[in-house]
Formats: sequence, structure tokens, C-alpha cells
Amino acid sequence: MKSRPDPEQELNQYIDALDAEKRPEPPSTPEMESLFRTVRTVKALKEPAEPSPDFEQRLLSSLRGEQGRRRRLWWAGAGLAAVAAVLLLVLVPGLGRRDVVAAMVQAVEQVHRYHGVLEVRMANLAGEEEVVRTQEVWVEGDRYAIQMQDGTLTINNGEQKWQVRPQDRVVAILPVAPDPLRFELDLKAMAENARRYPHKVVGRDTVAGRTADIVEISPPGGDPYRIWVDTATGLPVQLVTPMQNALQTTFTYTTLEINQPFDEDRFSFIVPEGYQVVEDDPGLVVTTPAEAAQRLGFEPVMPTAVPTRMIAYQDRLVMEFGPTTVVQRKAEGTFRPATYGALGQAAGGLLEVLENSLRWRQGDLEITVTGPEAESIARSITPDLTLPDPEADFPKQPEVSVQVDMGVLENSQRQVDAGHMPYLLDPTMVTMSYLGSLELVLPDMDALEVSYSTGVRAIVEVPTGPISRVYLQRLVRQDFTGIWTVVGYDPR
Amino acid sequence: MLIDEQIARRAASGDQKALEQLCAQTWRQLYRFVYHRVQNREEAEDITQEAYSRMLKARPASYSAGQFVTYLQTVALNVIRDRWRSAKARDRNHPLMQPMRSTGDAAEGIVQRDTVRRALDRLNPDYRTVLELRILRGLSTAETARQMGRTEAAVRTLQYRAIQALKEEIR
Repeated sequence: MKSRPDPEQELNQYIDALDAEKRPEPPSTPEMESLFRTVRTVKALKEPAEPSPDFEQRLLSSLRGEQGRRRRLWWAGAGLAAVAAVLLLVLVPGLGRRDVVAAMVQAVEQVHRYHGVLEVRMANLAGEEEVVRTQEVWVEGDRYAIQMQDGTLTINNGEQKWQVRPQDRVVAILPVAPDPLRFELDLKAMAENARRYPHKVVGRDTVAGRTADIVEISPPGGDPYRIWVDTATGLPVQLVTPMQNALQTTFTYTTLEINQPFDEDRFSFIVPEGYQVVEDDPGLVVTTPAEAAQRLGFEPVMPTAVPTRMIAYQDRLVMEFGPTTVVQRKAEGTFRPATYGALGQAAGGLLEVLENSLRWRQGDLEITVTGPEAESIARSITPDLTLPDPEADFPKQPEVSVQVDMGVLENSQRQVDAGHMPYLLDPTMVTMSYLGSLELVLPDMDALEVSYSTGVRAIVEVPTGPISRVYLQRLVRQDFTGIWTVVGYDPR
Repeated sequence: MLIDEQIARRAASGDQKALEQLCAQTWRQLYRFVYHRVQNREEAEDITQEAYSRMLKARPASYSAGQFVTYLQTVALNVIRDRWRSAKARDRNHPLMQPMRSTGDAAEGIVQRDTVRRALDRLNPDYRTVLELRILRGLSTAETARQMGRTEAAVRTLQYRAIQALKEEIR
């Protein structure tokens, strides 16, 4: 007779199986089943694991197989099966075609750790490119270490993040979140984002001596970016960001070692002799809103999605949703949106809209959501969120129009694209420059207020002097890289 | 989910392309429905696949667009029931088979999650931590033991008691 397993061991094996997303053994007793059910209830707090990358393909193939079997029975001719299979291949284009992204996701799943040299290059719109840094990285699951050329070593072991700075002989304890850097580096995140968003193969190239397919990824609401996937290993080896503020960044793994063992102490917190530990506010991982509220002294507003991690600092709560983060803190003073951003409405007040983030006040909290899912997560926090309409005209036309010379503007835009005159990207600074060109007494810079901005049209309120209001427009390019130009004003 | 009536009709008449379209439109919803019950990818994929296979074999006279997913969910529940019977031919009232409080409806899901979260909050800190590390963060027993400064045997005992305590809290 088979003996019953030790209950603690049985429960442990059940949790192990669910953690590994594997089919568990059935329970040995009704009592054990009720414990299994409780485990499932807890695990249901997490989002369901995504199905395997090739699941849809397998499902459709099995569907075709079932249909094929039914047809074979109907026609009662075994020989016809082969004909049907050939017909299927002919009639269903794409069947059997290699999916680069699906293969990449599978290849990355086999990577437990990697070590490589990452080169970061920046290019401007004029085509000038330079290597801005080279860094050595070690990644194992959630843990990573990055060593810069000057010896600075940043380590995040999943629980703590710190930086060893040889030049200052200091070990600085850093907040563990938000940590956007890891998402630029991490092979898994690169593959996961490629799978999640619409993508297509757009060409083939050689990177660091390796042949690679170029895949263009188009996050909804964002600019497309590209990754290079090594055809031999199936792993991503290069990422090129979209042009942001006239600059484009390229991350390239010039070397990459997969699944080689690391030194035992690679992610251990070790203070070198003679170094001083500097700790500001390292934060505390919390598991529930109640726990966060207890530490912070305020009740956070929870989005509908479940955060992958929550970290409470002395003055703020950081919630992570993959590469998107939500930061909540007590609102203090007057809310002043960035002058170079667009303006929308949220929770009955102003909403600051930057290229990659949204910020507003809700009750006595100030909330910032940053990352590719910023809009959908923000909407789940505040239902009355209105983004600016880039097509919208000025609410009122300027009393005096200002003539513009498009030739001059296009030249200025080229200058900005090359990294010069960045102040042309800020409507308040363009206003100041315009008032200066009229030889007026200039107001205090902080006194200028953007009262309207769609990201394409903006109105700046001037508190003193003969001009009360300046109207600006992005005439050359209507995105965050476009320069602002004065198109009119209202006399006081 | 809105399903095109025309596709549903063509699928019912055996149109392979329409069947594939119908499958492509619905499988994610069915997968989530099944995953919600079994909480592991391997089984959720198998059961989802088998549900479609049975749907084809059953050859329903029509695929009503409005009820297609509900129909598939019923088939999936039958698959789960059959698997349970073959594993342990004993309990027709197996919890996987009872009507779920949530069928993927967002509001109900939130209420359900909130109930569990509140129950977790009421547990003592060690119980809460071990469940958080083992189930929500998916750490191994060894990793959990290291983080909690305990032996692996102690973690196994702690998680067993924590699950028992949580079961009582949720009851």
C-alpha cells in the first residue's frame, strides 16, 4: 500500500509546481485539497502567467489537426491526409514561417544568467555619434551588477541596491525602486516587450560580428524602437531607442556569455576596507496598501492592476508594474507642471503630460506614473483623466499675430536636433527670449506661467509689462523634439 | 467579447479559416478563465487546447456569437471535471467544479482579491512573509529560508501553518 506523503512536504511540492507553472500532483486527502485551494486563492492575487510564446501556434495547429482527422474519416481515404497537409501548407500562408520574436522569447527563457560588455552610444539628428559609456554587466534573475569604466559598481540583488564608488571610497545605499535602468539592459525585458507589443522584422544586419535580424517594436502610443536579434543564438544583442529630445541611444552587447557561473560574491553586499557606508532612505518592500499606509502616514490610491512590487520610502510609495512605475507622495505647496510639458486634466485639476510620464494631484496626494503603460494605469487611478488634444486650436486667438519665417525656423530646428539651443524646446524660455528681442523689461523667469498647452500650441501668461499673454506653436515638428515659436500675443 | 456573427456562422458550417479566426479571438479569454482555476500555465494550456478539441468533436449545430465563450467555458469545466475524476474518482463537489465567484469579471475579481488581501493582513507577520515570498514572489524554499534566516524545514512548517491559518481566515 502506498503511504501518504508528509503533509508539509506535499504542500511544499504543490507550491513548487505552481511556482514553476507546472501541473501539480493531485492532493492525497480532502483536507490537503482544501489547503491546495487556499494556495491557489493566494496565487490568484498575481496576474495569470502568460501562456508559452508558441501556444497560439500550437493551438491553431492542433485545431487544423482535428479538422484534418475529421476530414480523413469523412473521405475514408488515408492517402488523402498527405494531400490535405500539403494543401494546408499552401492555403495557410505563414504556417511554418519562423517567428523571430517567439524564438527569441524561448531562447531568453533558457538564459539563467549572463555576463557581457554593454556599449552605449548616442547620436543626434545630424548623424554625429559617440560612445558615451561602456559598462560590464552581470545579470541573474532579478539581480544585476553594472561596472562603469571609472570603476563605479552598482549592484541590485533584488533586496538591496547600492553603489561602490572607488573615487570617493564610499558605498552608497540606493533606493531599490524605481529602477528604470534594468529595463534597458535586461534580455528578458527586451524579449518580453517585443512579444507584448506589435512588431515586425524589418531587415538583417551585422552587430559586433554577429548576424542579426532587425525587429521593429511599436508600443501603443509610443515611438517605434528596434532590437537586433542574433540569428545564431536567438538572443537580443542591440537596442536602439527612438529619437528622444533629438538624441538617439544605442545599447549594444559587444560580448555576451550565457549561463556561465559567477563569483559567489558577485551580488553580496561587501564593504571594501576603508570605505564609508552612506545610507539615505533605502526603502522597505511592503506587501499590502495597509502596510504602506502604516509606514507612510497616508492612504495610497491603488490602481486596479496588482503591482509586481511596492516599496515604501519615508515620504513616498513606489509601485512597480513591470517597466511602468507609480509614485505617490503627500502633495506640498502649489502644483507646478513642467513648463516644457503639455497640460491635461485629472482629478479635477491640472495634469502634467511629458513624453513618458503623467503627473497630477488627487486629494492630498501627488501621483506620478512613468513608463510605457502610464496612460492605462493612470486611468485606473483617476477615471476623469483627459489628455491634451494635439489637434485643438487656441481657446482664443491672439489679438496681435506675429509673422514667422519658416526658413529661419527650420534652420533653428536643425540646430536643436544637433544638440544646440535646447531652450527652444521650452515655451517659457522662448517667451523670455521673445520679450528680450522687443527690448522689454524682463519679468522674473519663475513668474511666467503656462496656462494652456496641447504639446503643439501653448499660451504663456506674463505677469508684468506691456504684453500679458504670449501664444506659441510648434510649427516645424509637432512632438517633444519640435521647437516652439511665438505666433502672437495679447497687449496688456 | 464581441464575435462577428458571420464568422460564427461560417465556423459552424466547418469553414477552417473561420474556425481559426474564432479561436484566435477567444483563446486568451478562455486561457485566463482556466488559469484562474488551476493557477499553473502547463495545465491551463492543456485544458484550453482540449476544450477547443472537444468543441470541434461535438460539432455544435451553431456557434451563437454571443454564447461562444460561455460554451467554451462550460466545455473547459467538463475537461477539468474529467481530469479530476480520472485522478481521484471521488468528489463531484470538487472546488474546481463549483460555480466560481469570478468568471473573469473585473469587479468581482477585485472583491475576491480584496478579501484574500484582508485575510493576509490579519495573519501574523511571519505567516504573511512566508506566503508572500513562496507564492507571490515565487521564491524556492531555499531562497525563502535564506531571506527569513530559517532552515528549509522550518520554512515548510511555517508555510503549512500559514496556509492553514489563512484558510480559517477566508472561511
